[in-house]
Amino acid sequence: MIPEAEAKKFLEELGITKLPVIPRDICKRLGILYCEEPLKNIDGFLIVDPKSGNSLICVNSLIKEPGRKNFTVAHELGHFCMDSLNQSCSKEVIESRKQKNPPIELMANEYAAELLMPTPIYQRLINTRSPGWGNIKELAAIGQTSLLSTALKFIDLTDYACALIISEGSQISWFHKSEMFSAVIDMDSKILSPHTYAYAAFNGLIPPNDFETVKADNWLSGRGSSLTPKFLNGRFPSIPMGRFLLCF
Amino acid sequence: MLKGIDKNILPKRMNEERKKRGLTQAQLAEQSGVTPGAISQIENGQRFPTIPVLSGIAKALGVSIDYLTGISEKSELEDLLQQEEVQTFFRGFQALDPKDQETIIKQIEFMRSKRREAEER
Repeated sequence: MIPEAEAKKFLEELGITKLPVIPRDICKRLGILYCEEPLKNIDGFLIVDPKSGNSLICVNSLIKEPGRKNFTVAHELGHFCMDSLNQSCSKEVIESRKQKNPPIELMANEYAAELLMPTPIYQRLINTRSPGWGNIKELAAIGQTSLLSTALKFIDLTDYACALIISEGSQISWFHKSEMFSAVIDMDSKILSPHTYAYAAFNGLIPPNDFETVKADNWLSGRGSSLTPKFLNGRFPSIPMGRFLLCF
Repeated sequence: MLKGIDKNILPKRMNEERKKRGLTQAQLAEQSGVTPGAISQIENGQRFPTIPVLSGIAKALGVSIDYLTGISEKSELEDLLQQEEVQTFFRGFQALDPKDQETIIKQIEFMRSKRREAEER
């Protein structure tokens, strides 16, 4: 089952061709009960009675970013569509591309990204934009999506060489790079180089808002690492410890 | 959830149940939250719906997914009639005179509409 194809099929059935795609409205249309409750360790869950098809999606009311809530509902709809029923999904798996996550969760994330940000529409929007937080914020506002999921979609569709590196607890946690990004991100040590703004941010310094040039080997190794990347720092509301976008 | 389904049964049963309720494809589409085109394609066997859409259609038709997809041979009503308390209700209902039966039907309709209103709120 291909998550993107399933999401495309679902949008066709519902006749949705315009942004924003609001998954709570989809639940209402299909009679899927939706609720928000304060949840401790999970961000969303899905309960389905396999016989009747009666279903409930519950999302953590403590999620602050509205786009993240939308993504969580779409993620649970992904489980429903792909027949992975009665799932509860932790904060760590929603939106994440970390390869160690269960495949079923990665698939639900791919599904959610395509449902909220359909490729045919986003390809046109991204073709006219260069990497940068201003453009990603603008796209997130158009689609009512989270900054993180929008940045990942941007990287999926852009012709620019760029990558998003997520660092948590002073270490590189995971990354996602565009097709044109040929360099290898140094995941061996996983420890942030002291010469990066990420390292500085973890030590209480305020990082710059604009692109800055840093030495490539602070982040990269192997083929393509002789390039000098421009570096932009920022923070995702859903990941308290930071995020970093590199582009050449 | 959909293990053991026969994809050929869905178009036939969906068409039968829709007609039984006197609904057009457009009305079923509206009630189940999908496009009329999707309903038409499903009934013509050109498309098998996603599970949430299948669930929306089953709800609109008042049958189970299992029945629509051929996992169960019994409609929801037939399933209900297997339950002891439902059988007791029907036996008691049959024994009443037509006026009392009418009162009970009105009472059920009233309670269902109250419930629908509460769900919509």
